[in-house]
Amino acid sequence: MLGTLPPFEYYQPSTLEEALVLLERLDGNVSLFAGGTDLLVAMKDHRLKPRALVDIKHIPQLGTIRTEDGGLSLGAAVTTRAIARALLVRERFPLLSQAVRTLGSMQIGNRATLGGNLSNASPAADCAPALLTLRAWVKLAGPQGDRSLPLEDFFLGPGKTVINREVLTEVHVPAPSALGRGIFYKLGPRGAPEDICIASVAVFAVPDAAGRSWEDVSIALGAVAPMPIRARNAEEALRGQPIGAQTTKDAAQMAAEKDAQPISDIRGSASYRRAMIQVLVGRALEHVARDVKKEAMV
Amino acid sequence: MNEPRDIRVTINGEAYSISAAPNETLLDLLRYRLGLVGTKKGCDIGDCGSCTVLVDGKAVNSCLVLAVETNGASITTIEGMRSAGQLHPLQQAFIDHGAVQCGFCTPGMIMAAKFLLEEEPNPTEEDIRFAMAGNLCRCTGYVSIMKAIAVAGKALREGK
Repeated sequence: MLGTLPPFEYYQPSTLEEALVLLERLDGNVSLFAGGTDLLVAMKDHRLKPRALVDIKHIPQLGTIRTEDGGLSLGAAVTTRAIARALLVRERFPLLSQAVRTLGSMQIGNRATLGGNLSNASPAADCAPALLTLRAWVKLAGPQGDRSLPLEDFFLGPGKTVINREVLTEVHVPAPSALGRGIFYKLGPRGAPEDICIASVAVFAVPDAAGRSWEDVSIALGAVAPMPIRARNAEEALRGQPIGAQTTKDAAQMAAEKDAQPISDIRGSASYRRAMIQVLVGRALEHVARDVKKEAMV
Repeated sequence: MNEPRDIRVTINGEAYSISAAPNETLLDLLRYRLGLVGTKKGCDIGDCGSCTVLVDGKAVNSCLVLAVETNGASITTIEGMRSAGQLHPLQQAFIDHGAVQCGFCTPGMIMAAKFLLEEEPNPTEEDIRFAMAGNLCRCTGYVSIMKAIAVAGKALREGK
């Protein structure tokens, strides 16, 4: 598995336009290079041998975190550690901060980027479930112009996205409901950030004004389908229902039996993953319910 | 294809002018071309942390940084931790608390810990555990390492 990197051409565009021109000119077999924590590993393993790397870390508009319409706009080349630690994210999007923090070690987090994690499109991508529950959008820039689409429509399969000679420039997270609370659980072999997850769950749920039933629930699952997915059956089972142990139990079971589509692979069997989804969804809903209750008592 | 580039980089306070091929990692540059062998090659894929160095103050796995990317950057390796002939409190604490056995993980541990303590001068045990999770050790069982970091943190806070 150890190996030197195969040879390649290296480009460092300083604007998005330059990057797009390069992508056109190089005509395929080009990799965009941000943190490189997935890319360089694949290249050392000779799984990927791009003819050229286009380093996008020097394009200013890809490196910012800002608010937009009350929501969050994250440049695709911002490091995951910077996102997790940004005050703006911690205070107004705590679920996102918590989830992104689990992506990897400190050292990896100082290089890995949100854009890279999403573009790499592992079904286990750590940033994806939380972003799905927060109804995130991605913005792509291409030779034909820009387009935006919901993150849900961005993934096509393991390692595949809709990107076509484009640069993912931004992830936009709309302002969540002030009453909403969320949590992200990642199950891995060490229980450490470095783990690639065996299964993961994000929940973002909004109680009704009285705090007694679920007004809106978003549940997303990682590593149990060809891509990160929303658990629509479980969500449907909860919408409008009273917050409580029985509805939580039913939803967790629904997520495991109807929403998860796990396979058996090196990290776990399908049946284990299914069982774990049930546990994780249950725990996540319990956690959010407790948060909601705490708020209601204040 | 793979045309070498001229880069200017500062390493442990010293300026270097180097020609590097795109496919050369920072780790390889440090070890094989500059003889700075304090930084170790363990897994070479960003899992073990033994290659940790600071690039512009940030702890990164140098096995996953391209040398050509470091043009204009300031790098600190374990060799740069001692100053004015004195060991850094982290180095001293690792020695004092039995946190060095074979020593292979030690440079990476110290660089990661330096970064941690700069960002979080008063970390809890939980903070240290989480922050150091990217550095593996096969010898010590980690307890002495965590102790050394806590002790060093205290020394640094007290201005030692």
